[in-house]
Amino acid sequence: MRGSRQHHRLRPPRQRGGATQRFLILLALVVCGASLPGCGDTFVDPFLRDEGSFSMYGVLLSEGSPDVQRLRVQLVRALPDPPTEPEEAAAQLGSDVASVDLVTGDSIAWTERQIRFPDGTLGSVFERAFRPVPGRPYRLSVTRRSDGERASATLTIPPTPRATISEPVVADRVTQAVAWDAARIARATLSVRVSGSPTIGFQSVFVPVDLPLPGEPVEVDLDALFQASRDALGPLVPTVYVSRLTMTVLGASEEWPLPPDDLREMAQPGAYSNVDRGYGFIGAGTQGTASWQPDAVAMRAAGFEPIY
Amino acid sequence: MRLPFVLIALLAALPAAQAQVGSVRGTVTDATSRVPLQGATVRLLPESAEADTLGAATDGDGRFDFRRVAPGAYTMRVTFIGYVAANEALTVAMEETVERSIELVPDTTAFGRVRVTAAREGGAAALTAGLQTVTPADLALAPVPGVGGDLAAYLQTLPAVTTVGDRGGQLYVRGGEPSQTLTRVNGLRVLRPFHILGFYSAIPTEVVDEADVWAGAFPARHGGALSAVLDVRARSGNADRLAASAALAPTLSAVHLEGPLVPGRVSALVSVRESLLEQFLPTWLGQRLPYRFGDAFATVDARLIDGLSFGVTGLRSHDAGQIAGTLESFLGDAVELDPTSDSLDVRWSDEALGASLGWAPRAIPLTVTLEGHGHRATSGFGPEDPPADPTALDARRQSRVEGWEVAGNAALAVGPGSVRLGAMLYDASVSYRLADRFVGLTADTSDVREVAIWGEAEARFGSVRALAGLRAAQFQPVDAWGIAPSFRLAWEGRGVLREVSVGAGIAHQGVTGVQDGRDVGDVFTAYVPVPEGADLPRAEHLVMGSRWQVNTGDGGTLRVAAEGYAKRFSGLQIARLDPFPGFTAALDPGDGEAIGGDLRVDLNQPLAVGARLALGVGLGLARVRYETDAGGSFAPSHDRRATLHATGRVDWNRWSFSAVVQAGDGLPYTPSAGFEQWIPIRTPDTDVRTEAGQTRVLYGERGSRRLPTYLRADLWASRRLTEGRVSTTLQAGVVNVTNRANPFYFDLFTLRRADQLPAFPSIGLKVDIR
Repeated sequence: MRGSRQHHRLRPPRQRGGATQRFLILLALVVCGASLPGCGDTFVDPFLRDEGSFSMYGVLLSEGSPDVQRLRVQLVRALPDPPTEPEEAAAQLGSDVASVDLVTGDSIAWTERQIRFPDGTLGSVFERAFRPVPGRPYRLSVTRRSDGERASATLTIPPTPRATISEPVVADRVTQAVAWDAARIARATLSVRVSGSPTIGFQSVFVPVDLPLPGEPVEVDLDALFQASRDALGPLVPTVYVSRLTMTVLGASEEWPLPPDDLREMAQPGAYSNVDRGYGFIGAGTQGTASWQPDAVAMRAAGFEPIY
Repeated sequence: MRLPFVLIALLAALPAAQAQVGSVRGTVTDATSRVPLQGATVRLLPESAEADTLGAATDGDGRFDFRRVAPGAYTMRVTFIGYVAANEALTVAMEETVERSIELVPDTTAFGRVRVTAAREGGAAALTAGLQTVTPADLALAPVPGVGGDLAAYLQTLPAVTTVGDRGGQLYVRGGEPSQTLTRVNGLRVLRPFHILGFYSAIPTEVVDEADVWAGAFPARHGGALSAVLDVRARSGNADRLAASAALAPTLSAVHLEGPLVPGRVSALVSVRESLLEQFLPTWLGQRLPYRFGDAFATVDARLIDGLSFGVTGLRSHDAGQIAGTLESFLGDAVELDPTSDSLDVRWSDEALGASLGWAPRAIPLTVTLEGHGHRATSGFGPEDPPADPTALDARRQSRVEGWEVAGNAALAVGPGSVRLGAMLYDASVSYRLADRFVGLTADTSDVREVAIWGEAEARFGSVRALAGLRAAQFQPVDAWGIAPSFRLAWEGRGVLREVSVGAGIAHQGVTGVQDGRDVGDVFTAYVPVPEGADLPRAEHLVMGSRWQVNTGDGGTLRVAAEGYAKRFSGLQIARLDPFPGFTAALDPGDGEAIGGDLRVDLNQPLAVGARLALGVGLGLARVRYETDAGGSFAPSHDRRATLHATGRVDWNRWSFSAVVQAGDGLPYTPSAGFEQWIPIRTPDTDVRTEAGQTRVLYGERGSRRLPTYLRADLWASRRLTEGRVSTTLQAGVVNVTNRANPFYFDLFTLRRADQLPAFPSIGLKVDIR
């Protein structure tokens, strides 16, 4: 995050002079204006010139297939309307995107694709198939070919998240806590292998998982898991046999904090950005997986019949 | 909270009323033309040493009225510069009224009209703790296209007033926003008192008797406004004879008629003005001038029976046009606007109708007034017929306020002071509809109500005048009470130092006027009530000043006034700087402060061969800051730090030559880096191939840049011929004589820039029949 830094960078040069000097300038202008038509510059420039020309949005993921990374890159426009004609969109960008592994120094050029979005507007999405190495820093940069104008974001691919699985708790509900060592969990899925037979026909049933706050474990509700499994197998199955539970998470990088609930707050320029000399946000995440056999007592308490 | 106790103490200290009195009233006119003379001095000099000498000045209809005169023999002495003084003996009996009509004979050795202007007790330097009383003679110092002056143009020459320029009808008084200034005309509320061409107010000069401009620390009788009060009292019309005027000018032509309906008892005044720009000057120097505006005013004043009076006043003003009606400028490359797709239409209107009933019994020095009125104000931005799709380019913002008010007050003269008590109820429906591009439709209608009671006590202790007051008001829907004490004190000197004054007070306001702070020079205002549960907007005022006067010889005077002021605002509802394009009614609570000082110099000096010079210079320094939790501290769009205004007028025989120069440093605006499609990267599942994103404006620091320095110089010449009761005035001049491109409006979303008027010559003819 660069919230405070960005705020500082946006600050224009200090207004020169105090009240006395301002008044002297005013007096001079009056004298000047009374004698010379059009004296003084009245040009109004609404634009900040030193704040960068690009915005970049995307997520660099180190996870399973597919390995294609994508980045939306825009040239900051003078007018609100995004381009709708291909020539217009192409003319707006004219830039190259590259990623650099800051440990090895390897640089990879990305390929531009022009995308037409559902609302009819056009935009540039850069793609490259590779899997970033967990724990390694990368720099993504966009450079305008005509004048070398450049924006970049440096981010570290988080290390592979590892899980610590607690003993289940059998109370009013049957739960089990799974703690991950990631800075923040950006995505989590839980699946369970179940069948109506103890020997054949096992299938995976996926259930949603509430994302935990940073530092807190994921609470697995085994009762809800059983209900989802029964719903998946159908009412004719007398017993739900379970073999394994698998949780897959995406650990977010430290530069990717929890977004605020208020979209307008999040959209305030500089409030949620990690792009230098530009705008936007690029996240990074690494997938981690934990698979375990549930405790027999707890699974039976939830309604399952464990099979090991 | 000591002020209530001060008020009580003052009330207790005042001596008992004297009921055994008579009264003297009458009129003063020019013996040759029969024109009523405003500002003539009328003094009652008692033959008995026990009675006090009384003095008064005639009003706009030449009337004077002494209501508490001790019985006895007097000499009435009437003086007016340029006329031979008149003396008349009279005797006042208990509970009787003596009426006199005085006709003053012009002094043929002097230049009457010239001297009249010079002798007035008005001017920018006539300033007491933020209060300035403007007279018709003042208005002549700031001529406007057409003939004569105007209240709006004159106010713009005061350092206490900041304006966005020569159009838009927006005046900011000492750090306050336009919606924080309460304007009343004969008690009627007027939300937009200024026309789209900012030279003109909606109140014609022929109508104005006096206007009190309370730039702060206003007394308890005024409330419901955070920053300032403009209280205009209209003339009631000539009760003795018919009078009329007609003015013809491309910018604004006018007709006014006044006279007795029942001679001596019922008078009426009607004024109608209409701009003829579209008909006669649709383009000028290749630029379009698409402005339509006008106003109508009518009042009837009746003295029913002795001591009882009744008045009805109605007014209507309308404005429409394109504030960017001149040229579109894209970073300096000017192109002609396409009128079919231009979305910068702006319009507003004000209507009000009210009546008042006054009772002033002769037996006791008491006046009782009951008033009631209704009003409606509308404001619009965007084309007249908005498209069905609110996301289309041409969209519309609308705002409307409809309300009524009843009020009553009683004033009792007690010895050298007075006591006033009053109450009012104001009820209004406030609505807005914003069908802006990008943000869809938002609309709301709310009922607002203000119930207030107030009391004031005014007293004189030797050369010290004191006014203390307390106002208690309940506001809905915010459901909050505002307790507002006020205090004013003035010491009057007799030497060079004429006065030292101080004023302090608290004010509250239950309705917020929201302007989009993102466009430079935006003129659209949406009125939004302070929501329930929010803090009631409050302002604390402090103003201190002093006045000096020096005789410069040959009847000339140099008057200087200096004032310092501070206003602290809390509970403000400040428009949020939204990252998504489009007007927003989303408000953030915030605070603010305005600190500044004015220096005003007036010189009235007879010159050789019968000429006279009137010169006024006003210097103002100010600093306005707003602060919100979300946006931090910033300079709002009316934070003009320095102003320099100068008016000069030379009257020579029947000629008048005037110059007005206005300068001010640039107003703040918020720059941006441009626009992009914002994609909220909340989860790693965000697919940048399908997310088109939402258009976002990349603002920089709020209010961190300033427009170019505002500078305008106007030159005028007029000649007046008088033949009997008829006088004819021909006025010609140039607005913005240096043709400076002062920016007025800059739309950060369309990059449209509108400049204020280029060098704009004007000629006008006016005929007065008095």
